Amino acid sequence: MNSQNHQNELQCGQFEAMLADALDGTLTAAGRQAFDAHAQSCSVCAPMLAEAHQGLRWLKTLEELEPPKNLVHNILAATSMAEVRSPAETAARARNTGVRHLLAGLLHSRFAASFSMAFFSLTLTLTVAGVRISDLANAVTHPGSLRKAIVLQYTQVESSMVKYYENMRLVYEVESRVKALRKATAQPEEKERDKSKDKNNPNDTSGNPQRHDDYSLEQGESILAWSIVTPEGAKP
Amino acid sequence: MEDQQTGALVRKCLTGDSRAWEEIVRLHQRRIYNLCYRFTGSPDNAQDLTQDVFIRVYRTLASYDVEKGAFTTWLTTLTRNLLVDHFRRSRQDRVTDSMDAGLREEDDSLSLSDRLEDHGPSPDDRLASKETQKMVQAALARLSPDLREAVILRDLQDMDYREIAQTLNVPEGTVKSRINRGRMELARLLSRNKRQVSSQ
Repeated sequence: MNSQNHQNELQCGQFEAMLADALDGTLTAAGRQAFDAHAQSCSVCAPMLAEAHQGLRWLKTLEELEPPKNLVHNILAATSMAEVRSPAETAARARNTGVRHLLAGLLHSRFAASFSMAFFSLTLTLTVAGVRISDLANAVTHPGSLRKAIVLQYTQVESSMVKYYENMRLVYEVESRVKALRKATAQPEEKERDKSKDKNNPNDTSGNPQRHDDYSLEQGESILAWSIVTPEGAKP
Repeated sequence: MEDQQTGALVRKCLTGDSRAWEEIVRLHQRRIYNLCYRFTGSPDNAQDLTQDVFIRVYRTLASYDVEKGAFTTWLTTLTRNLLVDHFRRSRQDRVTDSMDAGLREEDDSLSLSDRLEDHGPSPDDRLASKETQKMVQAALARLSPDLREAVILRDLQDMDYREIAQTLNVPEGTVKSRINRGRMELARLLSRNKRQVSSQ
């Protein structure tokens, strides 16, 4: 009779509160009886019990896993390093970690390829321009000498350019002189050759063809005259 | 008994006894690894997190008060805090449909219905199979972190409600409620997938 009353008193909220203990098997006998009675009579709580029970069964299928064999070793290695490290070193490590995180993004394969290409191009350009990395390093470490180094470099490049230009001018001058000398020596020979030809055949003018500059002019004028004289209506 | 032993080891460790520290690591690494694995579902993350837990334990060991509570509860609380941090960090990258992915990986072998229906090997063998464990782990990963940690601590770590309440810093009633809801949600997820696969 007492248990009958207990069954009647059990509400859904109480049933839910007892659910975990019921599945653990830790309910009292009276509590268990009331719990079972409610589960049989309540259409909401019965599926709840079934699902919770099923969920528990699924969870119990999960076996304990064996940790990796090197785990203990790694932990001990990591903690022994932590032991040796002083607070200052720990702070420095934290800073390094931040820098490493930043670099990790920059050292992505795409960026790394771009950086290497840019570096290669820069190195090549500097090498061609005659700039040495050691000079740049000195300039960076001593900012005052940076301007001096740039002026020196500019002067060197300018002087080499001027030298090159002067050399080219000399070459062209020599070349033109040589040509003029050749021409000067060749002209008297040609004149003598022409004179000897004229003496042999005075009527032969094939070697000295007559130019007919006026012919083309006359023809042009006649065409112009024709177009002026001919009226518009006379055209076919 | 285990906690008394650990308490003595902690005291030795604080005096600089490296063997005591090694013993603490050996005693607890399996439990912490399993807790991390069940929460993250990834062996790599579990290994990294276990290492992080012990590094933090080592650095904060002096703050552990033997009189205040069990070492296991203190260690579990510390682990749980790291797991929550890890969850928050990786929330955006998390693959929420890991269960489906897990099932797709196994498409070549047996369908889910084949594995869940009552034919083939006996129920006990089937429940113990690795494939079932994979499915349950995948379903566990789909639970909300609150429910997941509650069922892991109770059903996989066998902690009592009082310890779980201390670890999660919530009342025992809330712990029980979360455990019930976690179990029910897990059962629903697994049966829903079973129905989906059966209807295809």
